[in-house]
Amino acid sequence: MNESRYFPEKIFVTESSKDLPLTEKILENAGSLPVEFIPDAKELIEEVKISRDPVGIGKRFLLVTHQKGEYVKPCPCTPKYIGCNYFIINTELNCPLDCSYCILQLYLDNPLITIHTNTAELFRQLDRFLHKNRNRTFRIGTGELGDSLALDHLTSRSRELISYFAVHPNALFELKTKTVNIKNILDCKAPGNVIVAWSLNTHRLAQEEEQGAPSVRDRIRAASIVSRAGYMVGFHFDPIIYHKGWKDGYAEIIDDMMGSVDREKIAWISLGSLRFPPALKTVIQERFPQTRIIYEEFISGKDGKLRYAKPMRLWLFKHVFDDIQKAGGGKIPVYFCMESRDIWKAVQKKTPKSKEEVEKLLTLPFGVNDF
Amino acid sequence: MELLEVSLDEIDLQDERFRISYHFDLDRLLISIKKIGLACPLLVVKRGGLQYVVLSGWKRFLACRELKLTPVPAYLVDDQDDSRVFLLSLYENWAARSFNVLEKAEIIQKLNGYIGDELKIVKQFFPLLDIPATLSYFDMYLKIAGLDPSWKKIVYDKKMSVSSARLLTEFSDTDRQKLIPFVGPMGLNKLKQFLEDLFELSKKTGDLPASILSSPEIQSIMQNDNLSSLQKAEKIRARLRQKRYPYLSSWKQSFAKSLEKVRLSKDVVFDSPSFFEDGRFGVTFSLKDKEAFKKRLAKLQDMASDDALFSMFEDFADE
Repeated sequence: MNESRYFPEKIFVTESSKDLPLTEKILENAGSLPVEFIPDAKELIEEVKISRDPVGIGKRFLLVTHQKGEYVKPCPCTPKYIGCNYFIINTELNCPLDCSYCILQLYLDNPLITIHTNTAELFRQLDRFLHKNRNRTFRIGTGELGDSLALDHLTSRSRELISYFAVHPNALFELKTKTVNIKNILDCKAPGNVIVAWSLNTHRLAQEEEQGAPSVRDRIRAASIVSRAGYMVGFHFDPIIYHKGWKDGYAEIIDDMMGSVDREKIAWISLGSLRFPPALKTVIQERFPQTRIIYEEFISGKDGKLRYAKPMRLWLFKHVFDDIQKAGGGKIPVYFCMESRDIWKAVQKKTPKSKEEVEKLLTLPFGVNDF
Repeated sequence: MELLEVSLDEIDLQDERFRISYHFDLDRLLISIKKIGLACPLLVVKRGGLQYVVLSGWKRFLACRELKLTPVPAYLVDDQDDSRVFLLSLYENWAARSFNVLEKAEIIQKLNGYIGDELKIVKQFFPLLDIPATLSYFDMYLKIAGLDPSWKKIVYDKKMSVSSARLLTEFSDTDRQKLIPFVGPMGLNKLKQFLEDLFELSKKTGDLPASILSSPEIQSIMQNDNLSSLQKAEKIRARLRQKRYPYLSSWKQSFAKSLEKVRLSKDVVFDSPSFFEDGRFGVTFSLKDKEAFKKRLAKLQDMASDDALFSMFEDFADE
């Protein structure tokens, strides 16, 4: 497995975060990397934002700072399509990988790779959140505004979160990644409610559109290792991208996935087609002039995002879903990310009426609803 | 500043070092000057001996020249530092009006020449110009400033937005040259769609825009003498759209064909769902009175028993 790990050119630490234990751990794990202490991050962020490629430059530097707002939030999903009632923990922002389609290129106001180190506050907020939701089973994860494991060799955050959630079984905690940075995970005892999930795509797309990410084969291998260590795993085919050879490309990955990981250990699989706000198109054009994925047939969806026209989405989803079924994944919960009832009905013959129903579909197999 | 009477012959027309505007509609100003004379003096500096250079008031200068009104009143700014004088002109204009895309591009190009420090320009002047303070916008405006005069005229005449002007800069000089005959008759929105479709089709297929425009099918439309230039532009735009969106176009076509098979009343119009996304088909009909309404309803009732009509609602065939 290609275990190349991210190290920034320089680390910036804000004064308020200087003496926090996680900051010290990061600096220790970073070895001899240059470090600069700054009063606050505002000026630095503005300097990077003014540059020709704020996203690219932001990836070269690591900002260690406080999370001033809420750590735990509902996943913003998208208007007018069915969500899944997911909650996100914003421990890190941005990602050292450089995927052409990544929404973070547009979504965040801060382009720097950022680690929030006021961990005590994180756990205070999680305590409050978990107490409030103690009578239900829900899904929560860190991989929304960054990759859950891409910085784990610097932070060892996964260890803390896994041991925290191990004693909160009504929370299904998901670490979502494209990396093979699994050392810390393997060092922990695997609780039944922690799911380690990988984003997968075809080999061709991973090679052409996911710069810096390990190969899909390596990701599946990492999933296999983690599942054999006792963890439940998840897979996200998101974004599914229409491209030459897509049918064979996705079928090959699904065969590999199902052949490598015990299906009983797969908690869920999500499917989502490529979609993005119109403004991201310009960013992608500038940052990835060679890519062709944005020149397929997109329409303006009900949420204003560009997405493939529905018949195209149906082709993609039906094939990928059928391939999963054919490969023996008939009992694995499959859900759509940001899709319409029509799509659910046409592909899976079921139509969840709400995000709560989707949540139920995914959490029921864990059998922790009696809490 | 000293107020002078300057003969138009004493103004160096070729010296455009402070000029930021190249396209004017002089009509109203000409009427005004004819009525009341030049109410607001030009702003000039003296450079290279006896010649004056216009610092501010190119539009007034051109109007006076057209009316052969000379001499004209002008304030002389006594300063030999071009960068300082340009800023004076910039702030004078900025306080009085907003700038269009081309003027902003020209200002940024001139600031780049005078100041040279791109970061300083972005930080100090972009907020004044209502431009996002980033170097990528700096680059984009310099590219717009570099468009050749014929394209700048089109940008001005069509009142193109910055995003449309940006799109133009994505084409090579050769491609832009090829584009000129196609854009004249198009309105702003259709022109933008045409440019987007051409650019994206080129990216998608790997064919150069110029070679797409030179293809026999496009050329046959261009050379069809039975079509007006507007009809040609419309046909070419539609053809490009079809090539850019082959699936959507084919679905629309098959929807239209399905409609042909249905025993539709001429007064009832069926519309496909918007982008085939929300699954809702539209039916529209008009009527004069209650009787006509009843007839329409009866006709619709009749249509509802037509299986061919409902085959349009089925899934689309696989790829």
